[in-house]
Formats: sequence, structure tokens, C-alpha cells
Amino acid sequence: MINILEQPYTEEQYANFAVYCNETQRRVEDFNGNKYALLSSEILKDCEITDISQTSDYLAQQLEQAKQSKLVENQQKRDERIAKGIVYKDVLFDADTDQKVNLIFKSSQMSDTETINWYGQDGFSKISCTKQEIFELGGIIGTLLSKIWENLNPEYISKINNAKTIDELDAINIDYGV
Amino acid sequence: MYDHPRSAYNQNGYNVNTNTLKRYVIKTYLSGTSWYTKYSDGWIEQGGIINLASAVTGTITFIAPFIATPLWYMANPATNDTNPPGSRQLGYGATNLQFNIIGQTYTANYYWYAFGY
Repeated sequence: MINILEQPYTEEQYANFAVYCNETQRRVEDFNGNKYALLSSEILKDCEITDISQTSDYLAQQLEQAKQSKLVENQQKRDERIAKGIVYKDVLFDADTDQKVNLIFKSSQMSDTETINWYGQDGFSKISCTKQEIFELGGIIGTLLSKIWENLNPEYISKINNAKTIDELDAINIDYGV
Repeated sequence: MYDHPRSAYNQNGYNVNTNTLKRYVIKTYLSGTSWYTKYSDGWIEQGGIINLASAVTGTITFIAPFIATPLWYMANPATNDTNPPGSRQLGYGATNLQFNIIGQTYTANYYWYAFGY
């Protein structure tokens, strides 16, 4: 398939051209009614398709796009780890900030001898907790959140933002397996 | 006296008087996973599947151009996505000719669908 669709063309020829562009990740630009299929590293200049893949502007733009994607990956993996919760005494509990606040509040209301039922993520499984255990559960969640929010997340964001090349960016392995 | 047949035209100049004209398919197209269906009142439906490399921002060209910016949807049904299939809207900047897509951090097939005049 050629990268230029010159007038006159039929609907079918245009459709084939568009399919070719989609399959090869090209965009379409129009000049004087003719259609040009361009890669992201190409521009249309004086009716000619020009490669700009080695220009500093293009390389900087590619790096910036890759950084944005990597930041999204970091955000997704971070949120997935928090959503995964934590296991305490064989029951899976939410590990988000709301849970931490609830535990702190509840423990402040309890006497030293009192026990309460604390429900897991499924809303069904539960454990009977003393005030000390509520503290302990809150502490485990607090440690996890602090490791994520105060250490891992800012470290990854900083590494991503400081990367100078796409290879350097690709080498950053985002892992929230804590 | 001659009685003109009643007609009603939409903003795109198509006769959409349902008393005199039923919508019917006037053209279909299929190439691989890309397809479109054109109707007699100018309505177009089209879609396809494209494969996009990791972290690439791409463009999808409508295989039958619309007169105006259509309604459209783009989703990623990847199994390694923790969200339910098709739950993400991944495109932006649609015109009557094309729209852009933000690739995910893994290579995947993306499903797109657009409809309008």
C-alpha cells in the first residue's frame, strides 16, 4: 500500500487506505484533497513525507509521552496494591485510608477489656478483636500505606521524571509487592 | 392541484420522513476486523480492532468519514487489566475523520466503535 491516496478515489479505496493507516499506526493528513498516511515520526512538508525521528523536538516529545504512560502504570500498580488489602489472622481486610481512620476511631472508643467484631473486605468474614488487636491491625495498614505513599510512590515518580532516555525509563521496574 | 409529498430533512440534508422512507442499508464494507455499514438516511456505523504497542499514543482513522463528529467508543478488553473488560474510555480528540488513543503500558488489542452522520 502506498502512503498517498490521490484524487479521485472511491469510497472503497479510501476505506482500504484508512484500514492500512490503522493497521500500521499511521495518521491521515489532507493536502489539496489528497490523503497522506504519516507515522508519528513523520510530517508533511511541501507535499513530501519527511522523517523527523532523529530531531531533538521529536525525541523530547516521545520521552514525555513515555513518561506519562509510565506515570499511569505507577498509579495503576499503586492503586491495585492498596485495593488488594492485607491479611490479618486469615481474614482479608481493606487497606485504604478509610479503614485506617475507622480503626483509629474505634480503638479510641474501646476499653482495654472490650472485644468487637471487625469485618473483612467481603463484608462477611470477621474476627473478634481486642483493643490491642485493633491497634495492631491499624498499625499493619499504616505501615503498608506509609511504605507506599511515603517511600515507593514518590521514589518511582522521581525516577520517572528524572529519566533522560526511553531506555532509562524502560529499565524502571515498578513493583508494589510489599 | 399537485400535492407535494411530505418530506423532512435532517441537518445533513437527508430525507428522514418515516412515512415515505424507511431506513435501509445502502453499503457495507469489511476488511479483516474493520467494517462499516451505511444507511439510506446517512447514518453510518463502523468499528474495528487495532493492536497497539505498549505506551504508544496512536490515531484511528474512520474508514468511512462522517459529516460531523460522531459518537464513538474505544475500549481495551485485555485480560491483564484489573478493571472489567471494556470499562475504559481510552480515546480523545475525535473529529469527523479520526480520533486519538492513549495506549496502555502493555501491547494490546483495542476495540473501537463509532456511529453518527
